[in-house]
Amino acid sequence: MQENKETDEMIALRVQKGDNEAFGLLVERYEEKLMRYARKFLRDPDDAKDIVQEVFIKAYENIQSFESARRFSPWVYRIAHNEFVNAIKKRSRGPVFGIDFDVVFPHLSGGERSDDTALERDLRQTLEACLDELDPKYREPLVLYYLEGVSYKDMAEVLQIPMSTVGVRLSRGKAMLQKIAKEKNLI
Amino acid sequence: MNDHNTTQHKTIEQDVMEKIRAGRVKMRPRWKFLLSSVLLGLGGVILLLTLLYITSFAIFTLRQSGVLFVPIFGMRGVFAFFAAIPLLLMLLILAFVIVLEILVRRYSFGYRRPLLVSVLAILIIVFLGGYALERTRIQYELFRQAHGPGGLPAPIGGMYRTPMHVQGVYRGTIVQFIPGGFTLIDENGAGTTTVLIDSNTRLPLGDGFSAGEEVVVFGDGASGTVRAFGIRPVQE
Repeated sequence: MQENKETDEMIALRVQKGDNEAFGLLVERYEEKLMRYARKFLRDPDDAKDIVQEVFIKAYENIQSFESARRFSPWVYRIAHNEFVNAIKKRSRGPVFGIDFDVVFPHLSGGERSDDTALERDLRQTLEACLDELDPKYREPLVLYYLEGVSYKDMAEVLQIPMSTVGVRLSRGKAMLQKIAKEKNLI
Repeated sequence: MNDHNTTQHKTIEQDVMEKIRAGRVKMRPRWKFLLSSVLLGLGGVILLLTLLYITSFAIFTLRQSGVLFVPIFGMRGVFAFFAAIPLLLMLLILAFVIVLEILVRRYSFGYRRPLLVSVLAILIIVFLGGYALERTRIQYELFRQAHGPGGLPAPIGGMYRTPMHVQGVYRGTIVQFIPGGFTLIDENGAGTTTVLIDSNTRLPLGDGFSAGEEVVVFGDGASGTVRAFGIRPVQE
């Protein structure tokens, strides 16, 4: 099978110009990534498939709003983020994130550290084991960064928050993860 | 696991593409996004202009009443200034700033910055812009038209026709000097006030007043006589 060398943005442009079949290529490229993101973030594998399908439908409906000069990946992840947050809201019937002071003035307090190499080593494994216990606000950036490899910059675009807030959430998320892992005797 | 993934992979892609091919999912046309972007941008501009107008009106009101000039008289003047700030207008400005901030955060130049930074940026733009607008005489022209024959229709005209009086602050023109002070006539020429000056009266911009000069007097008064705590000329 010949590998398609077209970029996501080029394919999106084709879809915008009326080549509906090209949208299948985008679904193919992002389906697994979004399914993984959904499973880790939503913590409900039954819902994940339907919600990811809804993400692609929303992406298709709104593809004319995508600017091909920008990157497709943060754009589709943003749609996924919105859908996932809505799904969590429906389940919890309450605000998912509420007022976020990390967005108002992102900073780490004296006791918090921006990095922890000891935790870094086994972070992926620990994260998998403790995801359920984490607040969605901190779970999502950890999943995106450590499991999906999304950069700080792209994450700021996906979550529509300052990059400094991404750093603060990751740092706090890691600290929480460490605490949970210790309670569970995982580290 | 791989088989399971492949089956699932095909199912999602097939489901989505089937819906697209069957026309059950429709692409929204580009013009709808363009229109909503234009309307949103236009809404933002109208909101900002309204904010600038309200802010410039608030500054104009403070200037007309003389309150804008009293902080120069020290802490007592500063307190009088803050006590006189029109609360309703400030609440209105705050509400508009919140709406504008919500709007701004939809754009990358808004959400890329901490909320505190973007709110402060909006406040600085609004207050500096409002001040600059107030200095262009637009507010004075509206004030003049509101008091002219026919006047401006309500509610705009009413805003200008309702003068702001602040206890202890008098703005007017020196009519004549009397022993120990002078007589002041207010801007509308409707009433006169006797201003008494003593050794404690603060004159931060000098004491070279002359008849016909416009001044702001800050002090305690009753029955048309004011013991001046401070006097300064209105330099405009």
